[in-house]
Amino acid sequence: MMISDLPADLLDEILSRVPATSLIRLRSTCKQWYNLFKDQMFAEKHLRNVPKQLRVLTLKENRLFLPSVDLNFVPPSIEFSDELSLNNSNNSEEVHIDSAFHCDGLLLCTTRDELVVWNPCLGETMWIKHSEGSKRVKERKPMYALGYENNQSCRSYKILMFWDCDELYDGQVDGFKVYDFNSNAWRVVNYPNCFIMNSHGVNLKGNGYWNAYDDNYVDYILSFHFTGERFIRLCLPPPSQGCMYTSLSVVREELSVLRCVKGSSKIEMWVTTNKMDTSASELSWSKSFTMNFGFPVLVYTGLLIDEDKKVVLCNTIVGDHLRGACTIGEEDKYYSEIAFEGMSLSQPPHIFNYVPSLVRIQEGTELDVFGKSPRRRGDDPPTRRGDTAMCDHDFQFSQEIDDMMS
Amino acid sequence: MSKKIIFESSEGESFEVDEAVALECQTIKNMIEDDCTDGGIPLANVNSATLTKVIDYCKKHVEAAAAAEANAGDKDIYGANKDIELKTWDEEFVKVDQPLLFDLMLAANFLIIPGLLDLTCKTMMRGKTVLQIREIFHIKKDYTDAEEAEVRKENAWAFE
Repeated sequence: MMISDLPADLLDEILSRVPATSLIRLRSTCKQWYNLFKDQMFAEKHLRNVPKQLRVLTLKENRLFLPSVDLNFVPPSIEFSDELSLNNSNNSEEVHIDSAFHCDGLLLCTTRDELVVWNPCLGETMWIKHSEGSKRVKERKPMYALGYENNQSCRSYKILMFWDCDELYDGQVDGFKVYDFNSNAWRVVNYPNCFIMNSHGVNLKGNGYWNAYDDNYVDYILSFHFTGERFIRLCLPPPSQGCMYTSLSVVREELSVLRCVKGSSKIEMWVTTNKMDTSASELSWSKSFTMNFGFPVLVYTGLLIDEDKKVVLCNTIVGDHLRGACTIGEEDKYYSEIAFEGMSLSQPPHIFNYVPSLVRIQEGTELDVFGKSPRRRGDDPPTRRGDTAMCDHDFQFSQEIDDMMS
Repeated sequence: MSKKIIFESSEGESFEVDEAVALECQTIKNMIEDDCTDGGIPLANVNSATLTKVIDYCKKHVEAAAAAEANAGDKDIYGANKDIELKTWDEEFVKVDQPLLFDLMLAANFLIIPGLLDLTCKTMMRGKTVLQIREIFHIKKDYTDAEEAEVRKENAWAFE
């Protein structure tokens, strides 16, 4: 079979099913593939077709880690040894990350001076000026979320800036803003009525979701639709009141919420059954399983790491202390814990989902084959000639493409 | 007695299948709807070996769908696509040599069988090295050695 014998779309069909981490290695096959993997249409097709390679990231003490959890051991082991470091484009120094938000394999990180949209899989970064600086204004801190507008041709990414308040939002601060990558500018959008954000947000199919509560202390999910640039209020599983501590995450293409009732020793995992139709005006929930801790516990952030074994990885707070990361399963045998030394409740670790992808932030300009147009770090085409030492990368030749059935 | 559809392979061999099985192929479904399947459907670009496998696949998936419908009440919340038995069957099904895998993929593409297309495409690259992929697809290396080393250097990243 010659590659030229394949019907036009079939090669795309094949390659769009190879995990991003393996495609990175396949760039060295030929120049055509190298360029194909940089094409946004292909990147989107890849997101649709590839079996989800769900990874877990943890932001802890301003650094990102890839925790590894081995459920084959009893109790399971948790390690935070692998770090994903973000380096400053000017001086190559490691950057301190204050917060991170994931969408389509892109991480939106806030740092002291700038925002950065980062695709760690491609090693590409794009730095953007804060719209507000990172300082608190009257106890309010700017928060950021990444999402995209669904238009016909392709996804156009945007950033939402909103205010995290310790009190009910009273409209005293300037409005919320949206950054559009097509215009490279911030503009003001309408903000919702009284609410307090109560969790880290997640992105699902382009839209942002947060836990929130209103002035009657009713818990709900606040969603931001990046397409229409509006906020929508959605329901949580009942009951909607009673000091629930909740943590949002994404399972397959559904929202999931891990929650506990204050003072209770039980934690519940709920998953939506909407097939997440993003236009749905209500969410329907199904309880997945309940875990019993044995003592009162609160979950700060957490997510399902194994759907079959029903195991979650989360941060727990017992009393006034942050205990560490733990795995909890429906059955006791999946319980294990790793302590966080010297970590304070003022900046607890954030555990969240991440899916490696080939998505690049487009600056409204088409990227040319092998260079020319906007250059970012990581965009260097391999055109250097001469006697570059053949490094010892030959092992990659013998590396096989990951198994994708799992 | 359900209605039968007759396929004819590129070698001229006839294969009789239940209409329900043939309906797994979108292309055939359209033909059935247009009522132009009398006298058999000639598939000039699908050989007998491939067609046999394709029919096996469709049969299995029709049976599995019927069984799933019968047990619909027992599903847990993960139910829909968690059919482990079928997944295992699929995995075994694509343990074939490369030329047959190619033919299956082309047939799935031509007959429009999304599940089989997905399965064969997914399997195509699995377990292969860059060198093997170049060989299978007859891709000529168009990098100089230095360029190639450079590209591979970009690959070094945190997720390995």
